[in-house]
Amino acid sequence: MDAEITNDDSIDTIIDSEKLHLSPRSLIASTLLTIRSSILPLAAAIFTFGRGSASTYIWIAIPILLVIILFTWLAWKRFTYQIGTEEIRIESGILSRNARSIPYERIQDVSVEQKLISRLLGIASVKFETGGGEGDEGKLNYVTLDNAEELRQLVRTRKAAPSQENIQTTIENETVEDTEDKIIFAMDVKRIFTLGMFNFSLVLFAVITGLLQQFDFLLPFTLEEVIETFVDKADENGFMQGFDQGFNIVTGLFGAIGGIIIVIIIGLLSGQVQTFLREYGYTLTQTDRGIRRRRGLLTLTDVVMPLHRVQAAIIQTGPIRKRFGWQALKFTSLGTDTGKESSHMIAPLAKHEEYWPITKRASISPPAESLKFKHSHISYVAPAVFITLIFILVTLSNLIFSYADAIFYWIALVGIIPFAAALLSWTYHFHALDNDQIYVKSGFWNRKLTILPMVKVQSIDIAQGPLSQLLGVADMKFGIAGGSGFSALTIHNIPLTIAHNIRKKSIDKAKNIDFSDMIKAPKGS
Amino acid sequence: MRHSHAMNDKNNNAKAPIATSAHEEEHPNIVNDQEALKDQSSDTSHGQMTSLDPSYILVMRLTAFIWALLLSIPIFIGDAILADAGHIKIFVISAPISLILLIMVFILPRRRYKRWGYDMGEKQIQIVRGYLFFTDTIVPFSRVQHIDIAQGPILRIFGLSRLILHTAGTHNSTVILPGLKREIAEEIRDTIRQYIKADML
Repeated sequence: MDAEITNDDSIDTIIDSEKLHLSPRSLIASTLLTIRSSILPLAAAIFTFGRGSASTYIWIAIPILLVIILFTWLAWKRFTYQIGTEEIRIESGILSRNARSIPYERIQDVSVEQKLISRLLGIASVKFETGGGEGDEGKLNYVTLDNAEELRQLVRTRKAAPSQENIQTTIENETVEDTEDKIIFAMDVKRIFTLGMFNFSLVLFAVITGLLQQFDFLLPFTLEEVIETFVDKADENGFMQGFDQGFNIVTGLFGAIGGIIIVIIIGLLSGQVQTFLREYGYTLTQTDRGIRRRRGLLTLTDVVMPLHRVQAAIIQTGPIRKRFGWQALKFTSLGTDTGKESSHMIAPLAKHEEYWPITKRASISPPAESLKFKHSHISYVAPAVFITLIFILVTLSNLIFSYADAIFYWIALVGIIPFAAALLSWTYHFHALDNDQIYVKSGFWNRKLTILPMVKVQSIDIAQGPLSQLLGVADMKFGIAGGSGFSALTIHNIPLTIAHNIRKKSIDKAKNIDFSDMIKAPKGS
Repeated sequence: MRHSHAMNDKNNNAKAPIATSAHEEEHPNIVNDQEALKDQSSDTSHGQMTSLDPSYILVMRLTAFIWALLLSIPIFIGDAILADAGHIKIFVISAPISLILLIMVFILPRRRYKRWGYDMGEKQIQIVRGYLFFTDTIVPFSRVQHIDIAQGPILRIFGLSRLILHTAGTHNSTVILPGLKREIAEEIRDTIRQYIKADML
């Protein structure tokens, strides 16, 4: 509405069509769906509270049905969409209103979906996906099937019109698909065995004990019974009473050591099993569409990752494998990997002369020899100091009120742990930047070097807590497309001016390249 | 027309902080706490950042008040029950909590409002916010995926909207700028939209 009032010619051209409503038939579909999803809780409610006659149920059902219909109608009435020349605009919401603009340029995919009810009614839901984090960025529930097809065509033509090269590259790629793939990285059995040694895991152990506990009703005996009979047998034979105190300690010690050894063996074995199942036959090849990864013993997975979609590289290692020069290379990329991994595994166990050539294929270069990595400000450990102080205060107050219990000294000692851990991770937290890339190192046990090309930056936060505001330091958080949202790339506690400089440099690089161009396949790749 | 004029004014204002940060870059090695503090205070001052609409203070106050009301009723009841049973003296729990809630309703909104601000650059938007935990975000227009203008019931009473920028980043996948007059929110949206279009051609 306001856009029409503004007689600015530039704005006029954006919206050229009137506000459209969804198909009235979607009222039926939406009502049915709401009823379907509310029928179970309703039935549960009736089951627990009601023992009424059929007429009572009807008197309950009718007002609920009316409310559902009313709200479905209101939502329909308040939902409009506009197909502009440059964007799709969707307005929705009964009380809280939302107007969303999706530029055609950003629409990656249009999908038309028909489920049973919508098929019966001849309607379809249309989804617009942009490269955004959430998935369904725009959803029309529902329009008539004809409209849906029309919309899909329209979006495709409007999107394709200004960027012809997009189509050309795909055709080009199809013709050269047949060329032989070049192997760029592979792991033999020996390498996988080595990797398995580092993948010490007690998962198998946990699974077996878990299964035994879950399904012990299937066994003719339970675990407890087995243990009990053993103890009883020992008792009967006078074993337990027979040992004197000292001998008991020795056997206990041997038992404990034996137990630890068994756990270690199981851990190593299950690490090997897991690793071989997942990584067997690991080969990485360069294809025309990107890097292709094949691996797996029983279930073979085959993934192709377009190199131009790579956003950042992560080189990961641990304190022990670092000694042997082993590292893992992962790429953060648009679209998630198979399984729940937040980034794509590229080389699980590789030496630097193996993985740097791979990162170079994704236009990510290794840090120069001369590049100086800088520490964060020591206030990084401040939160841990705070926790430790609380522990120490508790101990002190107990000393003052003379409850001189030995346990409080132990508590004070435990309180040191967070401080020590923070100090250790501060020692391993570094950052550096050159003209094109940002480098962040973090973690003592899980050592990571993240390399982020500045052009790939989505957004940058400079964040300060109360103490940081006092000290003039700040955390920098980088928004990167792909990867997991929980562990945003962060440079902790650096001087504010430096943070501003790093940000300016990065944003200046990023702002001149449009996201849509960034994820497009380069010409003649 | 009136709106676009206002927009130009804002663009003129926007040039000031960019100039200062360019100046900073000439001396990247200055790591002085005093300097850093000065820089930070200038970041949040009204001189460079455009403030939100002043009525947003009332919106924050009203929202805080509703929350305070919802929270304090069960606390007061619990307090009364415990006091009645003789476990505690009356108001031992509810008095300090009421104090916190009063601060949240009467003192914090104004301070938080002062920290809110935005700056439309030539190709980027900067958004600053937060009183205790201060955050300063820059999103290049070229990274915006789609844009929402949202309006809840309270915002509607004051004729305000919330601008929501969506990026492809998993961190900051939504960047929110609340408390804007509807027209200004629409202007910002169209500016960013124009940029995406302009770059495309």
